This record gives sequence, structure tokens and C-alpha cells, in this order.
Amino acid sequence: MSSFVCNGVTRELAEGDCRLLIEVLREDFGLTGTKLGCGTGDCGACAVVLDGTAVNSCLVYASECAGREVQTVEHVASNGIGALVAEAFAAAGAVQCGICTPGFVVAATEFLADGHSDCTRAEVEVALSGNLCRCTGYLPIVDAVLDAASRVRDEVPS
Amino acid sequence: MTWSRTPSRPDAGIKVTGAARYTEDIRHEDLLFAAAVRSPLAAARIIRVGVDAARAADGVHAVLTADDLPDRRWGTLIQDQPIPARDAVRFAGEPIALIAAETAAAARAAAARVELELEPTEPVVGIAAAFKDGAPEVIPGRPNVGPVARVRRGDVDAAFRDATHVVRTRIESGRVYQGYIEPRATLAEPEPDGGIIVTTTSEAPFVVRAGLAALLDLPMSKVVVKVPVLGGGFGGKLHLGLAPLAAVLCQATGRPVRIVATREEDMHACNPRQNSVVALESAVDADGTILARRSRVWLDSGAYAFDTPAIASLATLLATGPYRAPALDLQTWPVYRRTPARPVRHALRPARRWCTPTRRTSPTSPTRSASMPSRFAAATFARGRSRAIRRATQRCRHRGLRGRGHRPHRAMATGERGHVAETRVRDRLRLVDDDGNALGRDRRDERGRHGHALDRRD
Repeated sequence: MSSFVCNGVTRELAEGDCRLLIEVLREDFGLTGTKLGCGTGDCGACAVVLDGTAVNSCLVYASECAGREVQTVEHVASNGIGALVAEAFAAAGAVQCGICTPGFVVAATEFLADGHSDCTRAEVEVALSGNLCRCTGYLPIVDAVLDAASRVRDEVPS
Repeated sequence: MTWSRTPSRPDAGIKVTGAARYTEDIRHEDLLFAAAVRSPLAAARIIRVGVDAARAADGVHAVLTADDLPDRRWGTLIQDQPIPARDAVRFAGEPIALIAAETAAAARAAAARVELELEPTEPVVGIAAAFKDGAPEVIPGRPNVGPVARVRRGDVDAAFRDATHVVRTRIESGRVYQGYIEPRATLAEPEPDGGIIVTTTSEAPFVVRAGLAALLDLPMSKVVVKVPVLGGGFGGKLHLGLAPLAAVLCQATGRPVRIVATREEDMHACNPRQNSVVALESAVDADGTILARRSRVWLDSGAYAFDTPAIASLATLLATGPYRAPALDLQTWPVYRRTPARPVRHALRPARRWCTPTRRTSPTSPTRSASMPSRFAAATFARGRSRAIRRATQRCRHRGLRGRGHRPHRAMATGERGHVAETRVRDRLRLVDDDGNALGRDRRDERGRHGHALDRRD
């Protein structure tokens, strides 16, 4: 039996469970905010934070997370920088059908939390280049991240 | 969560926090998971489908083939598609057997135990192949080229006789996958009165309701269709989609059944925009004014009709504009062949727009009248996909995508097995004159910062 911390809660993982992280998150923990878009690491809708790094949970085995810490969008978007990002997304029109949004929120939050709050537009575009959106055309998403970045700067003076 | 700023839309709040429930997110006690066994061949006779091993597998509740179901067909305008393939398969990816099991893994494991005995037959590949003499009929008794949709106005022959110049354009457009990020999914639940509740990724729930009622031989009052939050559709979710598959499994087991397409299944067996061949002739006077137009368009309907006959009418109608032409003779045919195809939003608009002059015709070089639209980028499908993937991959590498540790180890280990959901279509378009010489230049789409889709409204 191994365990990992998910959104602050210690979760046990059965020995020999060979499922992917996204399957365990969605099926066992009911954390359906993490979306399966492609299953091949192309769309980024399944992004979660694993030990401070955004990863595609469709490409990580749950067993690889033993002893590590996972944060999903449910946690990320409700706390700290993530809450600012989520609010900026909602306000900026960066959300349409919304299936890609959790992945974007996670990727953007991890980017800003990594000390990039003084980022440029080009840097945001590169940071989010692992996420696909079909509806917005990306511009409002980048606007939202820049908006959130300015709020992070205001709230946490460096 | 409380918001200090106003969300741009009422559902933005639940979408940013992951609280929104899409079809795949709905949890249900008692739920069975479905898998489809799909044809690896584009054209084959079904000799035998061995399901005994699959039926005996752990956790399996039902394995259905055409033999277990009444012979009813579905389709928007012409009902010609069986639920699982009956007697013959007509495109690679057509379902042959359906499985419902306790877990998704059990359903997949059972699917692997289904034995398919298929006898390959001659496939009809490419629009031109569909109307060669002696080409096999995709559906026996139905010509491969469907009835024409035609619009005529004025004296076209006279206009061409008197014209200073005649511009001839031939364009082939490729398939376009709609590229919605949420793959198609359906949850079907039985009702005690024999009815069914279907929760599905659909842009047209009433189409699903009417279609399912006919297919299941139920009164409409016993078919309830719900559409929860939808993860994009772009015309790709206008049809019954996976609902027939989930519904028959639900009826067979008496349990709620959910089927979710993998991205690979979705791209193989869904509904890309039709590829087309457009042959256009424009009669113009000395200053470039269009006097008359003739067009012939062949639309790839895929193996089944779906609404391609209607799209053919629409495409013909759209070809009457946007420029005034006093005389017109416009014709469009649906063509059946061994592939799936259905409409995407803006039926055939791109193919039509490529035929629209965007610069004034120069009398000295009339062949320069056609140019590519700047506003179009989309996914690719089937033919040319590997090249598109390779190019997109190179582009991603060039841009350092996933440069921050995102790039997945599994994708690396298995090679480039991912599909590129969105890429430019420019790789696959040719604009040529009658002698096959390249015309103009494909204009790059400047709006795609990442090379992804550009349509701004969902």
C-alpha cells in the first residue's frame, strides 16, 4: 500500500493499481474537474500540479505519485494565486465551452506561482502552449493570465 | 467561491473551478461501461463475429452484434446506417460489436477477446474512385453518386460565349475534424416504463430524441434526452453520435450504460467535414466583372448519407454569392465511399470561399482570380494526417512547447502517437488550373498564434 497527498488529503493507493493518475482522480476520488481530452498528452485538459510542476495526468501512472503531492483544479482554483487566475478567467471571457479551462487554470497558476508574475505576453503564450482551446482563439486566455499576473504583483510585492 | 468581479457568462464560475459536470463526469450507481469493437478494414464482408470468449469474460453484462438486434437503420435524412455493422463494414472504425461491463477496463478487455472474421472487399477510396465505371456500390442498390442539387439562372452558355476571359479553377479540399476538446460520450439509463433517459454530448437534442425513438421503436414520450455542459461541438455533435450504441446496451442490460469515445475512436469514426472537389468556371468581361459562373462540386458523404444531401443543397445555394453573377449554373453531388463524414459548422463554407475572388481579376492574368481565405484553420483527418502531425510536431518543437517539464514520458516512449487535434489546413490544399499548374499562393493564416483553431464562437 502506498499513498500520496491529493488536495491536502492523504489517499491510499492499492498495491498493483496500474491505472493512470487521471483515472484514479476521476473514478476513485470523484475529482472530475480534471478532464480527459486526448489521452496522449496533446491537449493539456488533464493538467494537475505534481510537486509544484504542472503535468498531464493522462500520462502519469498513479503509482508514480507515491509519497508526492498532487493538486487538482478543485484545489488550485480555490486557493491563493489559483483563485486569482480562476477569477480572471471568468471575468475576461476566457471561458466558453469550458472543457479546457481547468487545464489552463492549472497551467497558468503553476506558471505564476513559479515566480513569473512579471511575465510578458510572449512568455504566457509559451507557458500555455501545452494546452489546446477550440473556442476562444486564445487571446482572452492570455489576457486573463496577464490580468491575474498584475494582481499577483499587487498582492505580493517582491 | 465568491467573486469580486462579474463573470463574463453565468456558467464561467463553475467551469473555472472544475465543478461543471459534463456527460463523462456524471456519476451513477450501477453504471456499466461500454466499449465498441470497431472494424480495422474500410470494406469487408462480415463472415463471423466470435463473441463467446467476450461474453464469458469477467464483469461482462452484454455483448451485442447485429445478430442480436432488429435491423433498423439511422440517419438524419436517409436512414441507412446500422447500429453495429450488419453483413458488411463500410468504413474503418465502424462498430461491429458492443460490450457493456462493470468497469471500463473490463469492457476493453472483453473487446480484445472478440474474434472478427472479415473478408476484405474492394474499397472505394477517393472521390474519383466512387464514380469510375465498375466501382463497387458502397451500399448495394444505391449509386455511389447521389442526386444532384442544382441552381440555374440566366443564359450561362451565352455569357461564356461572349466573355472576354474564362477563369477555370479546380480545388480539392481535405477533411476537417471539428476538434472539440471533449470527446463524444453518452449515458443511457432505463426507465421503469420501458422508456430511456439519454444524457449525451449533443448540439441537437431533439434530433437525438426523434432519431432514438424511431430506432428503438418507442413513442417519443418515452425518450428523454438531456444535454449537460457541452465541451464544444462545432457541428460534430449534431447527430445521434454514440446514443444508439449506449441505448441498445442499456436496453439489453436494464442498467445505466455509459460509452465514451477515446480521441482515436472519435477521429476514426465520427463526423469530419466532407472533403470535396470543386470545379469552377467564371466568365468575366474585360474589366474583370463576373458575367456567369458554372460550378460542379462533389462532396464526400462517407459510407452513409447522413445529411450530405442537405449539405449539397446548401453548398449550391451558398455558391450563388457573395458576388453578383447574372447567370449561374451550379451543381453539387454527394458521393458515397468508404469513410465516415458529416458536416461541421458552416457547411462547406471554406470550400466555397476558396472559389470566391478576393482580388479584382486582372484581364491580362485572369487565372489569378482565386485566393485562399485568411480566416480558416482547422484540424485534419485521414489522408495527409501523418504529414500534418509531423509538421505540427516540428512546429511544437520549434516553439519549445511543453518546454517546462510538461512533455509526457509516455508519448516519448511510444513515439509520436498523439493526434494533433488542430493544425492548419494549408498543407493539404492545392489550387491548380486546368493544366495542373499551381495557381496563386496558399495564404498563411496569421491569426493562429499556436497554430490552433481560430473560430471564435462556439
